Amino acid sequence: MLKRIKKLDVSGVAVGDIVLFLFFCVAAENFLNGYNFILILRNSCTLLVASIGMTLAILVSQIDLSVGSVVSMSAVMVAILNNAGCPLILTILATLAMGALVGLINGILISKFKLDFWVVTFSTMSIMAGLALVIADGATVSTQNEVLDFIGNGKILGVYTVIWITALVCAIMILVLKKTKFGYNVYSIGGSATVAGVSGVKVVKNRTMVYVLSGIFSAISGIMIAGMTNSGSPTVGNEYTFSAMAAVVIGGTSFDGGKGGIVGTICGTLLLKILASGLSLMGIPSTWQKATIGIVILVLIITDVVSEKRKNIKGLRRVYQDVD
Amino acid sequence: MLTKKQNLIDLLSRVAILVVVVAVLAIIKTESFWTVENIRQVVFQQAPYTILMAFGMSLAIISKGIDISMASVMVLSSYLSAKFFQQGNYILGILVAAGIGVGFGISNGLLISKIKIEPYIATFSIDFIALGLAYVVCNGKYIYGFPAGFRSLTNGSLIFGFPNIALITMAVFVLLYILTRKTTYGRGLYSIGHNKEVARLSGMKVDQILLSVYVINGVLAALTGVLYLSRLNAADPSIKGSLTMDSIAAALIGGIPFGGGKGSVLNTVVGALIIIFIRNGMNIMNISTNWQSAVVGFVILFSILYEILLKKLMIALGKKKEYM
Repeated sequence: MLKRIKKLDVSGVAVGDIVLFLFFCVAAENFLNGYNFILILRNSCTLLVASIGMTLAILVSQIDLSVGSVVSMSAVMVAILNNAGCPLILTILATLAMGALVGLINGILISKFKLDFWVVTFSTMSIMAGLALVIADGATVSTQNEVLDFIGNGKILGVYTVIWITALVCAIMILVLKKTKFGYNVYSIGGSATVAGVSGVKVVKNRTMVYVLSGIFSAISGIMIAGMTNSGSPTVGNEYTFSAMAAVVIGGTSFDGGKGGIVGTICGTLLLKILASGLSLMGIPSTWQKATIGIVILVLIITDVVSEKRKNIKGLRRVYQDVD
Repeated sequence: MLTKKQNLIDLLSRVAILVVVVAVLAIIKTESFWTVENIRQVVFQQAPYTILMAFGMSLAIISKGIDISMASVMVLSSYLSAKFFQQGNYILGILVAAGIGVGFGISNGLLISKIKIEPYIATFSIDFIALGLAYVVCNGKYIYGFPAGFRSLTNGSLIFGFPNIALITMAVFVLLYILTRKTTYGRGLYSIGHNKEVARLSGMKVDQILLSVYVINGVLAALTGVLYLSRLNAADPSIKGSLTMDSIAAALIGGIPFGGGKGSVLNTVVGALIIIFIRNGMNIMNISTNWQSAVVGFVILFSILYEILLKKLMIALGKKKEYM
């Protein structure tokens, strides 16, 4: 029964994707062509990878607000290290290590020292955003590197490299969540941390791991952005936190934790990007887009919360009937 | 009795932080910081905006929520009312500003109390929408040049030595202090912060109180927006700046922890002064503005760690008393 509900959730967003896609096919002139379709996929990549980290955090019924600024920080870091003549492989490893470190700090403060996750990730968010501005000196750092450009703009077998990377990351994380002990633990901690802890799941370790992974995924996203734009902007990730949160929630992963998954997040991210692409092709000025997307996201979040509540009430009713 | 003493110790320790910050600055930069002119400027001209915004943030945090949207609502209300103030149509201007504040406050309040969306997410979405609308309305045009009568709202001083804006802030402070500390409404607010369920079961109108908190925040945001208009002599969407972060940091360092139900608006004033003096000191020492976000982030992190330390200290003190 539970499995069926879970499947229904995801397919709901998928249907939403298709409906929105069809709507824009009719409403926006140049929407329906292969090039635009690939563009939407390519634009989704960076947000999607960042959202996977957010999905993990929300699955353990917490949140990681530092996603966006880690994205900015890694884009800037890649550009600066590359300009300093550091070999690319080292640059990428250092950037990933930075992401992991931020995640580790978040994780330890939250799960070990039992600090509030909003405040902790909020403060790491502002610290990282500030440091990104500091090391970039407030401006976009442009950089040149063939391999980096290949990561961002090159193609393997006719498909953009970023799409390959994203597909790989998604596939690995879907498998990890479905098949490994870690994935099982994440879902059980999200269901109830107390119960999970009592039944022998190492809550502190797993939660810390979730934040470390979230940091690493944000770093990957930042590296891809640096490759796509051949530069690192200290404000590039500013809207990623909100967008990632929205993508995850739209994808059916609820803030209660323990429900949802990566597939939903993929659908949610696509929905956001289809919306953005369709709105701009319909000729809606970019000033309006921010407000429109905000309203759409809010409506979707309200729907999610309300339907979740209704489901809970229905569940209770069943329990009462069974007792009778 | 004990809690009263604890609150006093807590507040005094915050004042001590403020004194330390001011003393350090006065020693390092005696000639440019420790002058009557600079201190007056900081306390009476710069601090009121942060203090007013931090009041709203504190009310939200006391009720175990948060209000990210205040700064954007402030921007939007100042923008839409600017035209009327420019034409000297004060009543209409105030009505428009207040209407926007109340409107967004009600939507925040309903989302949080009735639909039960996490305060962070609800106000984050509203923030997105309000700022988006502000950019739509602005559309790259700035409104500037206001009548002298309107400008005297911040420039002039009714009582010698106290600029009007300081008087307004004091009036708001007294009002809010009485409201939160001396009325049943205030008691309700604090008990919601402690435990919402218990407050509901003991017959408090939890939903109404929560709704009213966010409406008050909207009004405070609108008021700050109008004052900003008068001070800057221009309507500019970039005034949002770092006010959200500053007000959260002010509330936290002032001694209003995220747990809710603790601290008073007096703490907020102390916290806001700490933040403002740190910012002023950084300006005087010619530290790049890029650093400021990171520093405020560190202040937030410091304040949560400080909170833990203080709690441990209080417990130790309490124990000693028991043994004696």
